[in-house]
Amino acid sequence: MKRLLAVLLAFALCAAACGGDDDDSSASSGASDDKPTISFVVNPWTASALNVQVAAQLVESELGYPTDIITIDENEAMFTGLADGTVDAVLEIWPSGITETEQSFFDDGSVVNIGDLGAVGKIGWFVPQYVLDQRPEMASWEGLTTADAGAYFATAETGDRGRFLGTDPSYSQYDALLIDNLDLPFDVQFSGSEAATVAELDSRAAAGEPVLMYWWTPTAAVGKYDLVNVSLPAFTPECGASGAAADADVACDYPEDPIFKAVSAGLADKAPDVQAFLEAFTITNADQLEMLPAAEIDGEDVADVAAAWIEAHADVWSAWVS
Amino acid sequence: MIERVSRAPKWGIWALCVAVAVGLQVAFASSESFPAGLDHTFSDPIDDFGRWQQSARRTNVLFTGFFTPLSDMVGWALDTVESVLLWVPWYVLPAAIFVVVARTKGWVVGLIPAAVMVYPGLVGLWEVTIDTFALMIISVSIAVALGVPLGVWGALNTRVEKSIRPVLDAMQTVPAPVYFLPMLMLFGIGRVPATFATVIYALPPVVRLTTLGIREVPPAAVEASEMFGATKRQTMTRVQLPMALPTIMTGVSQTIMMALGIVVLATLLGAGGLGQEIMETLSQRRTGRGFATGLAVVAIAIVLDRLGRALAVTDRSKLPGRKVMAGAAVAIVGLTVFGLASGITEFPEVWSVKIFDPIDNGVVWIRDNLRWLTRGFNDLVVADFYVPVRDLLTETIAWPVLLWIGTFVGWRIGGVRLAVFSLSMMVAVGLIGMWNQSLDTLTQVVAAVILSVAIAVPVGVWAGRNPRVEAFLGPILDALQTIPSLVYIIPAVIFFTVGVVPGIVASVLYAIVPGIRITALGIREVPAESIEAAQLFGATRRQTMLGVRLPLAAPTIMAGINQVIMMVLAMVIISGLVGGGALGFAAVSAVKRSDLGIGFEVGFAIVAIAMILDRTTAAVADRLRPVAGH
Repeated sequence: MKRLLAVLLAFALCAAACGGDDDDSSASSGASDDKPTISFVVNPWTASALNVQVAAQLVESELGYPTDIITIDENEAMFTGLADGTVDAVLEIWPSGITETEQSFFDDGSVVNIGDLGAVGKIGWFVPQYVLDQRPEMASWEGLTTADAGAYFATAETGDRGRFLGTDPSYSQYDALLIDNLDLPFDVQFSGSEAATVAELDSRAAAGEPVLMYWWTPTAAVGKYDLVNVSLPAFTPECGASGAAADADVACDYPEDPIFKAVSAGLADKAPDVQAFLEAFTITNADQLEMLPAAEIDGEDVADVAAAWIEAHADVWSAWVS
Repeated sequence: MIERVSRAPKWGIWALCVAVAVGLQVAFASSESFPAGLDHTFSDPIDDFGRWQQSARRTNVLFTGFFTPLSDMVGWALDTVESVLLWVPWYVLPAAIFVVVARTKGWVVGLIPAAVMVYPGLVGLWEVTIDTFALMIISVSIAVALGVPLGVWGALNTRVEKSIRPVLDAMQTVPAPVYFLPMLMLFGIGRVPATFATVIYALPPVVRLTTLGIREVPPAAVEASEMFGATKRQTMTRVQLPMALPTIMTGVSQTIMMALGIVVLATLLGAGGLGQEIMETLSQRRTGRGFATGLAVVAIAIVLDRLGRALAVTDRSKLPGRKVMAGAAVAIVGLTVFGLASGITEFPEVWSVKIFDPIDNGVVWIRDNLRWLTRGFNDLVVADFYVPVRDLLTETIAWPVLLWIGTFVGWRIGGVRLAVFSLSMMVAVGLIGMWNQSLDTLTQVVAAVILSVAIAVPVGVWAGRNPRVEAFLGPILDALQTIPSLVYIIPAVIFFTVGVVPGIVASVLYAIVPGIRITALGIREVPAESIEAAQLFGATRRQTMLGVRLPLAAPTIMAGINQVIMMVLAMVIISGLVGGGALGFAAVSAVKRSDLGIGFEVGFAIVAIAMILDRTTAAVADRLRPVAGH
């Protein structure tokens, strides 16, 4: 059994020798022991992960707090977590997705809106450019009203009606209502997850097959697959649409979403400097589009992409930490 | 039972069944779908509870005095395990695994799990793997700490066992995501609810097999122990538990496998770790990377399984001497200090290898070159099976007809009890407003079961006849069972299309494993005398197979089909993530939107389908079993 020891030692020596050139980044993060951990929420889309990575890396390196990132859908459980302090901050809330129950957390003060992120999102109906090359009239919803338009987008499952590709159920959406109220020959088929939507888009685009889907900007896929936003009847506050609380008779486009940031009410006491930093924290559409292709198309790690952005934009973020 | 009914009345009874069905169809042809009279009866109070707990969790004593401290405790344990594992130099964990396993199994066997533990680091997944590893260690520990005493209690007290059993049955049939919502409500978001969901899902095997193991200890051993004046406690700890240990450990390894199945899905609860990593890489369509991540889950399975087996060895004579162990302990401490002093903690990035990226090219190649095949299969299944059958069940046939047929079939197969059970379950599903969605899901389940059986039974028969085939299939089946299905279901969307087919394909890949294994077992267990007798009478190989082997193996094969059905049902939620619609989508949607009331209704519907199919197939298996004098 002495061999056991010998093997162990050999293994360890090899590991130590080969691993000796490791960087000691964990020691240099500057996180000191007496500061509490700041927990960020990431929702399951890339832009959300990038915003949080930029903020979390700066909170660690500039303010010296350890951070933690929790991925969860944008739902009531997330707001419950913010309200009871399980998580401290969420940086990408789409106003069109706020439900009545979620609004109640803002109303009772347990979750605090700390201002706009800077980026403005836009949810809508999208088709690849090659669809418009064949059917230019489909740039607008009026081109989708005929039975022929439905048949053009039909799949084995929808028969002769068109397939509208719905999305992750936690995203704000009212496509089925729009289709009903605009009397379009389409059925919504929910992909169930963003991963499935992207896989479907990739497969359809590779074969040049038509697809009409729920998507949004800013995203890298719009550039990569050359997606075009189909125009719907223009949004007005009166047309009944207010996101997740949409009326049954909603018949107009999704509104533009000025994305905002929110924190747990307890953060101001727990870490006032983090609160101030997050209030100043701003990421614009241009910033997101600068980072998104690397993460969504080249498949780079979001942490690396965020670190590269921080590296390149010290002039922007230095104002947030002062 | 078959014998008691003579031929003519049997025929007459089926004719009566058809006549009643036709009559009901005519009478109710124009009626609407099942009247959902209790649509809000259960979901509304549950939703109210959900809303209540959101405000109550900061004030009510149930939360402040119980759930929150419990949650904090588990959270603390998770943090501690994880931060210790990340604090020590990375090589200490493989080294410690090596020492523990080598201590009882020899150093060659010890090297395997140690090397496997290095794998996640090599593909750049060290930290997320440690996340999941910590979650697994805590969940499996809690499951064993609860399950073994519960199993012992059940073994000692028949009444306890009888009351636990239906609960365990339910825990195993309820698709795990159904637990997710209550866990979110009670424990908030993150890894703590994931831990509890994992414990609940993984608990049954260790309880069952502990009870079984204790029961199987020869009474002579217990009597001998008592004769030497041992107290009941001493007999239990010194005789019964050690003798039952191999069986208990089988239960623990099954518990580990079940737990791994759920930690990946626990990403829906915000648990992070490998599940989150898989979801993210798949959104980027990096199939190869997803596959590499899936293998990290398999690595955890192998390591925990070997650790469990090594810890369970009690034969002290085979252990190395104290000096060697003390030396090993000193070496590990020394290595830790050395590593910490020289600043080595993280897995060296330079070692990262990207061996799985070619898989991405393979996916693109199949997408571009085999579309005629994959899309053809997709459209065949959808247009020629799924859509017509679904429409037949939900639109053409009136619901009273389905109730009647379900009840009648239950009666013919399992007697009055099964008939009453099936009828009440179907009525309950209809009343809570899940009728059409359940039939839609049932159609998908039937398609998956037909395909699975069509693959599993022939392959299982082949493997049962040919040990070499079985040996070859072994590792493939192991991998299919442990690789998270999310890894292959997104490429399935690229090949087939969003809809029911990717879910069906993934269910088939998952469900054929027990189907093949149990069929092979059944074929192998056919007594040699029966086959010799048949051959003596000049039966050909084909005749022996069809006339002797298959009929004698039929009850076991039926038990395998029962397992296939349960596995397919467990995949319903996964199909909801790729466009499967119906109950799967409703379940995904309920969890993602924290919609407690709908979550309850969906959960009930899935459990009802599972229990009806489970009891029906079990009854069929019973009837196939040869009775003495038959």
